[in-house]
Amino acid sequence: MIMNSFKMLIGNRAAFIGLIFGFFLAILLISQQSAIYLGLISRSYRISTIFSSPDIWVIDPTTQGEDLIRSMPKDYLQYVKSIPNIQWAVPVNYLLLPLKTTSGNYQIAEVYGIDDDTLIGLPQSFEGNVEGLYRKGAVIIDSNSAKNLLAKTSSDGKKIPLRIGDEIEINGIRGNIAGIAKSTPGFYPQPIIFALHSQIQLFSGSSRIQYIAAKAQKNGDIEQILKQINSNPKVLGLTKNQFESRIANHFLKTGILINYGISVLLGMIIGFSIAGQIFYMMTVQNISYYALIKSLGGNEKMIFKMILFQAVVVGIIGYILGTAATLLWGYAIKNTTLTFAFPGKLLLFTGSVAAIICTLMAFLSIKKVFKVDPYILMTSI
Amino acid sequence: MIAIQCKEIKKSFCAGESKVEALKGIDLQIFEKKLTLLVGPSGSGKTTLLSIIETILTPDEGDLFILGHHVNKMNELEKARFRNQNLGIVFQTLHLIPTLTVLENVTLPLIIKGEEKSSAEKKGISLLKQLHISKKMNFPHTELSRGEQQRAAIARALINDPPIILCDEPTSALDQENGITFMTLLHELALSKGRTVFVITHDHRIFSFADHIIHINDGLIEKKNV
Repeated sequence: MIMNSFKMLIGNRAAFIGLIFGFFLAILLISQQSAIYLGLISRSYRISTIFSSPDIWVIDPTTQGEDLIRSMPKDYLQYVKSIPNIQWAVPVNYLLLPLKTTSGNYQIAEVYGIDDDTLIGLPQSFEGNVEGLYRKGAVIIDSNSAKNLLAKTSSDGKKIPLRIGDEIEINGIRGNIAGIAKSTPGFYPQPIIFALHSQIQLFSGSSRIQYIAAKAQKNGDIEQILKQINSNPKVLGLTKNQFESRIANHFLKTGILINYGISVLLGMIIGFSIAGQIFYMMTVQNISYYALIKSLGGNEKMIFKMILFQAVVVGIIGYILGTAATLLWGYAIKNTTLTFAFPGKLLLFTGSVAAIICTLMAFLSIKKVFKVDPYILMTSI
Repeated sequence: MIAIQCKEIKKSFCAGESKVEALKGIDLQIFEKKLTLLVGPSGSGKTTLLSIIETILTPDEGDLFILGHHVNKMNELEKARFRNQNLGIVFQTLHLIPTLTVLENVTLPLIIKGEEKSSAEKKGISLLKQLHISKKMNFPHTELSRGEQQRAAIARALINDPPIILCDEPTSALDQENGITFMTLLHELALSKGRTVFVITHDHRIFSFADHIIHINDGLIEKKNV
């Protein structure tokens, strides 16, 4: 009966296409909105993306997110390094400092530190060379700012991008561009600067550090290491996941993401409404055929399987198309400032939502079909 | 031998606030291997009685015995299985599924029974050959003439080799020639194989095919002609 069920599903082309489109739209709405949502969240803990190798992060216990950081004395770095089974630990700077170009552009820049000795924090690829970073006042600037935000404007209105060697002023201190790197933008359209920790001390006039990033020895027990770090109440040691969650949770308090969450929920409701309604209407259109199957000896279990199969087919096709469209969208905006993150867990999430919608729309229809009396075949002419 | 026996069958329907008594106590016997016609004017209760015999409508009162089985005592699942194995039904509007081919429509009772597709198709093709519509077995029924559709509906009723065939106004939409052809075919395929055929009709043209004619009027059996 499964094959017959499939033919009954695709037999009405218009309804079938409408159903697939409805389900595709639902999955597209849910997965695309979720990908934007996750993209936004991931930007809140961008520092752990830039510094991807550490598995331990140490912060001041009052630090919550990028906008609520309490700096720590540099001595704490020695404390972390002294903990057994720590392979390495480096200071991590994250500061917001005023930046001015020679053409008069003024912005507040996000400044990230690079460890002088290990170069941990250095962008993976950039235009320029590492040696240049050791020159006094040398910085790497993000390509988007160099081309747009901080670009000079010529008399004819054309933008002249900043180049390696151009001078800039950071927090009133003269600096120069030693490299240009691609970087994921943050929440605000601010320039992103990378500089050696020693250079940042020069620009900020402070030796304090915002985070300490550390790596455990290969066989080191991270839980045990964190326990030892946290025996000092002045610092808080976290795993990479705990660190990301702490920052993301702080960001969630703003309400922006709750609104996004609501739009994801809305996507689910709209998707269910469209797909559910078309599926239900299609079942109602086919009601006399289900009555016929009952009259020919078909039981409820058989009809249940038929309708569930139809819902699953629609669900799978809609899920594949919706997910593919979302991934295409992600690919299309890859090199823009728009946010997009599509981890494997999102596939599972949208898959689960698709399964829930399928089950609900199947049950709505099954309820209707179970109620139908084959006697309608005798009265309908 | 009695194939179908109705004892004091009563059935009423609600029409708004009033109650309409469709069957007021039907006592009826339909004999094995005979073609019995149930005739009567519109609204006499023909379709209601046929629906009860088809076990798709439950009477309010009375007892129904088919092939010795007390159908009233069966639950819905047992009735469904009983219908599948013992009753071949030809509906007035045929009720062929348009998204399925003729062959798929014909083999539906076998597939519902749980028979393998290949075996069901083999039986279906053989039957369609006997009915001279095997050339159109892979077409949807909408591409068949009314007479061909009728033959497909008979094939579906016969495919499970049921001992009883029930038909609802089978010739009402057919002209004289096709009506006679249909009844000849029914006679040939059903009665010659020892099946019991029960037909409700008000088509006088086919009365000559009947072994028994039962007249129903206003929910009661009026007379029986043998």
